Amino acid sequence: MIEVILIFPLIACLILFFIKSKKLNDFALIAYAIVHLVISIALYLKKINLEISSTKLFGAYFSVDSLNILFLLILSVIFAGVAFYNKSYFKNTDRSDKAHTYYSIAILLFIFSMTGTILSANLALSWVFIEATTLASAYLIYFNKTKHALEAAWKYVFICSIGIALAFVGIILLSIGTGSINSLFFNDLYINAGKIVPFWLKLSFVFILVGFGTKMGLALSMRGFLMLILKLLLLFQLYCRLHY
Amino acid sequence: MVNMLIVLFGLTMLYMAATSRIKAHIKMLSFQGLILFLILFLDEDKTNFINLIFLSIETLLVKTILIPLFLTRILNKNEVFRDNEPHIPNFYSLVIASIMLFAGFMISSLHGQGFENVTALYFGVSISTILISLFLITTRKKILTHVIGYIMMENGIFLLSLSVAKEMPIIVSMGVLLDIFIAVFILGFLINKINTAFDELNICELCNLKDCDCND
Repeated sequence: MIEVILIFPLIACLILFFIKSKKLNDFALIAYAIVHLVISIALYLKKINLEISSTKLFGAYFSVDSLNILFLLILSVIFAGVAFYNKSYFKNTDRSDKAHTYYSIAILLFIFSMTGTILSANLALSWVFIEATTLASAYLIYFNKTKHALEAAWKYVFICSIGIALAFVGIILLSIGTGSINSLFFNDLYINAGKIVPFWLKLSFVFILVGFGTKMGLALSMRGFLMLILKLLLLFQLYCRLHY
Repeated sequence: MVNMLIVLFGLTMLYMAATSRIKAHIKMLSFQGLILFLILFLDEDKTNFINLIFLSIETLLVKTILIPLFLTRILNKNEVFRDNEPHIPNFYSLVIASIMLFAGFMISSLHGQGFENVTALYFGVSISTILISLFLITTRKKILTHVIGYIMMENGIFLLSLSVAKEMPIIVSMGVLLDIFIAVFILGFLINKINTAFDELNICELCNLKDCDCND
C-alpha cells in the first residue's frame, strides 16, 4: 500500500505534463487526496497489531511504525482539505492551462516528497526528501509572479537550502560517530544507541537541530518567539506584583 | 600530495575572502572542483567502481564545468562584475577568514575518542570552509555572491563527506548532486527574474517582506 501512495503522484505528474487540461488536473489532485486518505486510514487500522511493516518493492527504506502513521494521517487530512479547496481557489482567477498544470504538478511533487519524508526509515533518505520539498514548494511560492512572491521565493529557497546543508553536516558527523554500525536506518541507530561516540552525537545533534530548525522556520520566527517570552515574563512580573 | 591539495583548497577560501571580483570567485569555484576531483582520484580506494565513477562525474563535470559556466552566463547577462562595498572591508574579512582557517587546522590536530574514523586534515579544512563561506554570505551584498557562497559551502560538505573513512551510500551522493544542481538552477533563474523586477542585484533591494511591522 505504501508503494501506491509513493508511485501514484509520479505517474500522475507525467500524465498531467503531457495532457495539460484543467479538469484532469483537478481530478488528479482530488483522486490522489482520496487515495492518500484511504490508504493512511487503512494503514492506521492495520498498524495496531504490527510492529514494523516494510514494503516489498522498496525493501526496508520505507516503513510504517507507530510514530510516523500519526504524521501521515495529519498530512492526508490536510491535503484532502487543500485538494477540495483548490478548485474554488482558481474560480475567480484567469490562469492559462499551462500555469494550472505546473501548479498541480508542483503540489503533487510536494505531497510526494512530504510522504516520502514521513515514511522513510533512513535518516539520509529522509534528508533527500526534505530537500525535495524545498524545491517543489519554490514554484508554489513564486506562482503569482509578483515582486513580493519573487522576494519570498528567493529567501525561502536560499534559507532552506543553507539549513538543509547544515543538517547534512550533522548527518555526516553522526555517521562518523556511529563507527562500526555503518548504517543510518533509524532502527539500527536506536538499537545501537549506546555504541555511538557521545562527542560526535552531541555535535551532530546541534547541527541537525539548527539545520532542520531553519527549514521549519524557527530561525525566522526567533524574534517573535523572544518577544513572546518577554511578554510572558512581563505578565508574570505584573501578576507577582498584584499578588503580593 | 593529498595533504598539499587540501591545504591548497583552504588557500582558495582565503583568496575568495580577499577578492571582490565575481569572475575571480567563479574561477576559484571551478578550481575547487578540480582539486576535489584530484583528491578523490588520489585518495579514494578503487574498490567500489560505480561510486568512484559517479563521484568523478559529480566533481569534474558538474562542479568544475557546468556550474561555473552557468554562473558565468548569468554574470554576463546581468552585468554585475564586482561586489562593491561589502559590510566588512575585504582586508578584515581576509583576516577573519585566516583565523577561521587556523582554527580548522587546530581542530584537525585534536586527538580524541572517535577520531580514528575520520581523516583529521580533511575534517579541519572542511569545517573551516563551511564557516568561511557562511561568513562570506553574511558579509557580501550581491546576491550572485550569495549563490557562490552556497556552492562553496557544498564543496566544504563534500570534502567533509570524503573525510569519513567509510563511504556514504550512493543514494545520498545522488541526492546531494540533484539538490545542488536544481538549487543552483532555481537560484540562477530567480536571479534573472530579480534583475528584471528590481533595479539592482543587491541584497538591500530584497527587504520589502518583514515578519511583522511592530516596532516594540
